[in-house]
Amino acid sequence: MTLSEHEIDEILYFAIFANTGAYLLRKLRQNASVQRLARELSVGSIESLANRIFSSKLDTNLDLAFAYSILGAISFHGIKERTLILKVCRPEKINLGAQIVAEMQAYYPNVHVAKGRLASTVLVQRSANIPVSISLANSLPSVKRIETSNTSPPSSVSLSKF
Amino acid sequence: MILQIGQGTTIPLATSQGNSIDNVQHPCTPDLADQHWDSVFAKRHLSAKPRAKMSGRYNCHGMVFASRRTRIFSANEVQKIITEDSYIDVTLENVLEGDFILYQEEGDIIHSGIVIEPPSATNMYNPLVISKWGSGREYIHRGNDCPYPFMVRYIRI
Repeated sequence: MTLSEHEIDEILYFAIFANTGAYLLRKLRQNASVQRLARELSVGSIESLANRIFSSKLDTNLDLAFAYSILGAISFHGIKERTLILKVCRPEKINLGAQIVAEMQAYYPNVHVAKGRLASTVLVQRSANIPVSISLANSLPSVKRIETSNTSPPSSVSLSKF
Repeated sequence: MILQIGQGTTIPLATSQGNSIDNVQHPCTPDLADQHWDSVFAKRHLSAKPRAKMSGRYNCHGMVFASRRTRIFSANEVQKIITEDSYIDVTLENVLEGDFILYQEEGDIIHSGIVIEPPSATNMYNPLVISKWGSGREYIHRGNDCPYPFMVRYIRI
């Protein structure tokens, strides 16, 4: 999957001028490219794409646009049995990312955002029945603290909403 | 699911009643060439005149309510400031220079700016505003010539 120059500009246009995470997430979810990404790729595929994109240096506009698209796309999927870790090598390049993550609580009420000592944002969703893979989380040295919830996982956000 | 994205610094910031306001300073812009985005914005917003550099340190709400020192990224925090600082709504015909303009969508305050030419019959009730567009530049622009829908209200203390 790729994005045209116009699609890249559309996504980054929102990413630059959005003043609140809620507004940006709303615009991303309304974006046709983001909807296509969510529709065409499974959670696993998005996860693979995310791990590739977010571990890159985000040096190109295409990577940046994909980074934002992924944040929008995963909000459509009910992720309740997976542990998805997106480690960003250059967090300053998607500086609205943390705000989007915070706003994702609207879609995943059981998600908790914890602010670590470095003001990094860690978002954890934990099912009562399916433990989060803490060992995987702990393999990331930059993850300082994890807060979990024992409440039930939220219901999925259906793509049929479009 | 674990996401770890974005880093920033929070500074002490409070309403006039002493309650803290969530905020964050981002270290830089999204690292996209100003020139590229200047041309994109120029094509889309013909009357907008840029001023200052692109900056991730503050956004529109940070410009209006925090003296350009940080980003206020939650509409709820903006509402808290409006309530606790006792801002009042100003009717269209009574708007003056220096009043604040708030853009709203789906109940959220998505953008804010400072009025520098009030709405009047002369400008077809389309005020001149200075505001900051997210991580982009500050712009002097007509109220309806910016990336945000022109559904607005005006406030002052």
